[in-house]
Amino acid sequence: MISNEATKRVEALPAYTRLIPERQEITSKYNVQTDWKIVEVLSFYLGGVGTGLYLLSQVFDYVIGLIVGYLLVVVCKNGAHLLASSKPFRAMGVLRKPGTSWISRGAYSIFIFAVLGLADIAFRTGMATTENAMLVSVVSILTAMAAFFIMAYVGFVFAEARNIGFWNSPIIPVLIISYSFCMGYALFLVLAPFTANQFDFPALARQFLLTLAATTLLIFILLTVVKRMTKSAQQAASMLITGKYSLMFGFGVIIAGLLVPICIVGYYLANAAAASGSLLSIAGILTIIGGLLFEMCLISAGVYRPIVDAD
Amino acid sequence: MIRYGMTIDLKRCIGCQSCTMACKMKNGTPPGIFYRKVLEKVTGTYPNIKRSYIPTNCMHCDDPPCVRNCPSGVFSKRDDGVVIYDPSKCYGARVCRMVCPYEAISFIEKVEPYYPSGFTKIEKYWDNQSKEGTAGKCDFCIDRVTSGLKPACVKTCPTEALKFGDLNDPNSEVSKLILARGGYQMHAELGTNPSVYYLP
Repeated sequence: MISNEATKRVEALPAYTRLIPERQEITSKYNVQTDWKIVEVLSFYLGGVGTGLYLLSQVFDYVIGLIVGYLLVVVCKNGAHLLASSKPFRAMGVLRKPGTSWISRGAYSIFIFAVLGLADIAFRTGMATTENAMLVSVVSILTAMAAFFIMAYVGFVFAEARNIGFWNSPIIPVLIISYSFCMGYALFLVLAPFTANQFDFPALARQFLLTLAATTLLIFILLTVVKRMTKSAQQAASMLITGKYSLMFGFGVIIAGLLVPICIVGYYLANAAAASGSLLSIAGILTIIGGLLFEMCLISAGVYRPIVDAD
Repeated sequence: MIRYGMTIDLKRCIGCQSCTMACKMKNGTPPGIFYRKVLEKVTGTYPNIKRSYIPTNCMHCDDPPCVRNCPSGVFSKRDDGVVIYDPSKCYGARVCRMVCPYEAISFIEKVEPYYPSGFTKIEKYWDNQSKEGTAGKCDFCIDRVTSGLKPACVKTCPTEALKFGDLNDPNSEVSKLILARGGYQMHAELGTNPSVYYLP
């Protein structure tokens, strides 16, 4: 029997004496990833919003949207990535494995977007001119492709995470693309009233409603499919539906971020003549906040597959 | 072609953590970082209780997700199947930790000295501070192996629960043990084809 004094003496020993790890019992406990935090959330989120806005602004020839989208991706998203990196001065090394790594492919697309996006904006604003209309079109198309790839690669990074059952799903990339378009429309509708451009707001509202509905549907499909996925994925889903993040996910993402905007846009479309355009901006702001909360939920619910116990 | 691998005899392991210590001494890892762990499992109910130990380390997969997904090429697979890493290329994306199904990769967030008086001579020799903010993992003590020695954990294990050798040689001790004892790979269903086999 160890005396109380002896126990106290052992407990008083400094941490450096404990060279051997604390007992790591194999239980059904599911650990949550702690490597990616708020800065990573911001980098993925800003990339989604920025590319969504940029692509829509290309379609509607909206220069302010192009500039804001470009800055969100090239300055803010990249800034967040550098902030999240422990060795930012080695960041160029990210270009080494485009053959197999989605992060590397994403880095290439950001690089292409940063260069061609600048040229695209210059052509559209008249800061640069050329008589070769073909060149302008090619630059515009390549920029759009790079923007779409930036939007999509994040989903594939998540889907490749074999250790995290909830992310390791083919629905995640589709959902992230859908959410990015949704947030792109949202920011577009927030910015559009502040310019002199004349947009067909009812048409924009219909398209926004469609992306909101698609995103909501995809989230419900994901949560339904999760029941047939691994135990760690089910654990992650229960964290979102009934657990620690239920308020953020249920109220923030689903209700305030998707269902309320759907109702607002629906009301706007039903009463287009009488309804105020600022309703769309309110729906947009709610969707943008909801999108951030969605990325936070997705990262926070990254539950590791147990090492030993069958999953 | 040689393919290095390891067998872990679960009947022989007594959970003494000698391999954990040997690994720490060989690699000079900072506090809190373990490239090798021994997990414990308690099953049954009193009075019929059984405690078992499951040592884990990098599985040196044939199709390693860390090699494929690391954007900066920190991890690479040698011709002999050993997955090695170069911390000087790591910029801290940590995607390796998300894709490894065995939680075998450690991320050295911050290096603190073992003793309050500061870094000792041996800690300075290991130069752990240069590894701060980078990933690390078991490399089968490849420098020892290329010199004809066994990995530190295998050499140290007092019950000889760990064996190391060529999986492609049917006459090697590890191949014979896997065949005789029905050795199995952890999470074989994921298709990574690990080089570490557990002997039930």
